[in-house]
Amino acid sequence: MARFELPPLDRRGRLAWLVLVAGLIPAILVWYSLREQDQRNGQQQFEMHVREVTDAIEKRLRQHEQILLGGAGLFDASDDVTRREWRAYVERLHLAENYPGIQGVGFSQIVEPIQLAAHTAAIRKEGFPEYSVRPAGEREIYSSIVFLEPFAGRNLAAFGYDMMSEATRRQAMILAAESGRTTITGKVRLVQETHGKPQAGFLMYVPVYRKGAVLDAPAARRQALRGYVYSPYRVDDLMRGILGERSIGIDFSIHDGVGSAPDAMMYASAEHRPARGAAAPTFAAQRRIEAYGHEWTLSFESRREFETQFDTGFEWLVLALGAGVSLLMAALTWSLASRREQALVIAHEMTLQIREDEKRLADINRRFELAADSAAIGVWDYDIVGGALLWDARMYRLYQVAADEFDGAYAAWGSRLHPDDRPQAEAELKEAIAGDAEFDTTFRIVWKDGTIRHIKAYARVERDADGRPLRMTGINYDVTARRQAEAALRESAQYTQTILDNALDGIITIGESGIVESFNKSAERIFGFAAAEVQGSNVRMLMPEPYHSAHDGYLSNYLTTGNKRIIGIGREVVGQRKDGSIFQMELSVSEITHAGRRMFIGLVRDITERKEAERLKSEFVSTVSHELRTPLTSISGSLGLLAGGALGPLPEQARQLIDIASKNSQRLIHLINDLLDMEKIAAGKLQFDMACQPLMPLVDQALAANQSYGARYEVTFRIVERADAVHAEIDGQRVMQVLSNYLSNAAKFSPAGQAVDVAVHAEGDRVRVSVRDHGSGVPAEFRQRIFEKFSQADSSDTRRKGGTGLGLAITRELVQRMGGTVGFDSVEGEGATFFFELPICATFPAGNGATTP
Amino acid sequence: MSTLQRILYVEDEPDIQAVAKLALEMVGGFTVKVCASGEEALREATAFAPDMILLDVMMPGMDGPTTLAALRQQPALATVPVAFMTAKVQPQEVARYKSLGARDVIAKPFDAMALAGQVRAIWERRDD
Repeated sequence: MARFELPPLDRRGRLAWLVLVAGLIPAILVWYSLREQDQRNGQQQFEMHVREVTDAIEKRLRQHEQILLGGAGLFDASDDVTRREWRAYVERLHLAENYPGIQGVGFSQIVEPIQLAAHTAAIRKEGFPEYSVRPAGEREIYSSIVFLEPFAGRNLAAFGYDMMSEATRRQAMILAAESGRTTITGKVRLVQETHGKPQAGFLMYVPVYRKGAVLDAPAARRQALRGYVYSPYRVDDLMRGILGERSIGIDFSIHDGVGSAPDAMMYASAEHRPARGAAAPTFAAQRRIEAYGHEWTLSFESRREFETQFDTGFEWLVLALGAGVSLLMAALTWSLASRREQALVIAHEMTLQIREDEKRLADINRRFELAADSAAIGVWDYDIVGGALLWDARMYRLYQVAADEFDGAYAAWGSRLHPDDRPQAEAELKEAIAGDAEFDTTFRIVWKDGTIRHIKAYARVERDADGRPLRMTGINYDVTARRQAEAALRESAQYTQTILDNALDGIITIGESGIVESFNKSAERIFGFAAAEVQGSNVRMLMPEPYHSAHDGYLSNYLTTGNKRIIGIGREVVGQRKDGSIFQMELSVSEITHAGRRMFIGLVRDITERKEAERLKSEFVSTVSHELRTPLTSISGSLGLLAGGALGPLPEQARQLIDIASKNSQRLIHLINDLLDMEKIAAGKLQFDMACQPLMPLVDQALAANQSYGARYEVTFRIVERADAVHAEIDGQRVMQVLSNYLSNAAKFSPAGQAVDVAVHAEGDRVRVSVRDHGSGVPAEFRQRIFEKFSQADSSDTRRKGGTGLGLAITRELVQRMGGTVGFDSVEGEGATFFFELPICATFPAGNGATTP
Repeated sequence: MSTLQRILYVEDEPDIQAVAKLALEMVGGFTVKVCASGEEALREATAFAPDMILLDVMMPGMDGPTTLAALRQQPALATVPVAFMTAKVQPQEVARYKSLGARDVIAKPFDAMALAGQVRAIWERRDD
């Protein structure tokens, strides 16, 4: 497993590791067991092979020994064995087929030195002229390979060879001779190694003794030795013959003796195969073969090819799978643990969130409760399916029901409705449930004590997926007070409307732009328009030309300059009715500010009748005046002529009477004139010829004109204060009239011989003209109405003082029309000062330019 | 220049006729012809050849202004000074009467003793 830096192990880490380990352990165990299995298998196979080989070799060696023993037996059985007999024997063996690898089977004869020559000759005589015992030289004893079948090929080289001359052979041969047993040599190089790759070799000897010899001791045996039946073996060939060519992946080598010294190696299968490499063989074994006095060490080593058979790697696969699964499990565990951790964290967060939400909900709830409480809104919940009705505390209060009286059924509500409202309310509820309408209604309820309250209800219906109503949640709140207020307001509004409707004058309100906002009944009557036709339109639709077009100008002029042409003053204007007819109306306009807007209220009075009346009166007055004046002209004319003496002198008494008549006819004329004047003034028919002119000259003139009048009462007029520079906006003739009135009054009421003082005094933008007399003053009871018509102190005075009783009234009208004021100061018994004030329009200092005040 | 001697007085009221005539003759020494209507005046005026004409305003039939207009049609009377006689009038009415061709307006009732003087004064203002 790879190694990595482990972070401090948390729970899940530990768990994962645990799982991993828990998974790996069986995997490893399985792996191990599989491996062991393989090993065992291998081992088994190996050992089997080893056994096979070992057995085979041993078997073969014994077989070979048998062959040799057979050969020896041949020698034992016959006196002599000829070459031909030997050959026949060996051929019968079918060595090549049956015992592949055997080089041959031969007989080595022991030759005493003294026999050597004869031996040699005998062999040569057989047909081998080149035969000799080799190596030459003197030796104690000689042996010679005289038979060797198959006598061909390599074997020819062995013919005549004295094996005893060679140490290794000798050793074995001696041992065989002495023991009488079969022996083999150690590793030798055979003389047959004449060509090809030399192989390690060895020989097997079976001693042959002379017939009838006693063989009870080694020495005896040696003495009796005739020769050996032997086989030379080329080891490779032999091995090949034993083992065949199959390669099963196990190297094996044969060492002569124990140990594994290279020069002792007789055979190594690994020679034929590439080197193994560094890795140690998985299987290795050594066997010792006891072979005829020699020990052969057979070393077996498994080759890769052999090993891999048992190294299927299956166990690795299993291990890998197991490890993989474990890892997976561990990873899964870790992941799950992580998940769990995550889940815990999430759960924790969610818990926090939930707590927060709960808190928020609680806050919201609190606020709702606060709002609902303060507004006394009751909340109800009606389970449509089950029929249960739930009320909150406020509902109980609204209905004045104790919680224990409320049974939670639908009827609990219904029964508390006002009987007149109940059918309607219940019907609306049904409609809302059916989905035909929203539940938004008002009804009356009746408390236990009989009090009736107005309740406004609103509810929503909750439905299931199919639209079937499940429940209804709603509110109730008491609108009794509001209703009452509304009713009062309505009444008040109605009352006001009634007033408006019944006012005899038309009342029209317009906005700043001239749009008519209200138009009362009388206005409708006057103009012939219905209110709806006029409201929302511009007021100028009620005016004929040119006012119609000019009105907007008037309005904007007023709004911008504040110049009151018509505001606050009743003016006679012309109106136009719906039928187009024009009529005279009196219009009074006032201005208000309402809801931040400027509005104008116009009071309209159709003065056609009044005008007609006035016209009739005027006509009447004209007619009367003319009718009166006509005879008066004759009367005063006649009397005037007579009194004036135009027709000659008259008798004294006749003259007196004529005087009286003439004076009184003059009085009549004055009276008529004054009356007509008043009438004209009142009707506004008096035209004023206004001009800005100097005042003093008029005063002087008036004094002059009334001088004779004053003289009649022995009263002198004098000016005590002058204001020559003052100019006033006046009608000169009317000022004269006023001055005459004051002067004549002053003269009338002054004691004889007294003076009347006239003062003209400018103050600010007005000039005051005062006429002071030293008469008896104005009596208290007349102070209020001194300027009224016919209010002369008493009728007796009238007769005595003369005058028409209209003078001061006319004076007041005239002065007021000129924009001035009249007044008087009087202390009873100390005379009176009558004055009038007029606006100054300019002041011209004598000779200089004017300065406007 | 000529003098004021002959005055034509047009007035429908007999009493006023008498008084006025008397006033003008006695006080002013004028020669006065009285016509009772505008129509009569038209018939008589040219023949009378007045130096001055006094017209009552309010008359049945042709009123003063109408009579004046008609008299002016007569060549001989085109430039004869005329004064209206009527009830006390306001200045603008005086102006109106003047614009009709009258020199001035004499208020009724008139002062019989002053009438002749008023007439003369008006006649003497012919250059206004």
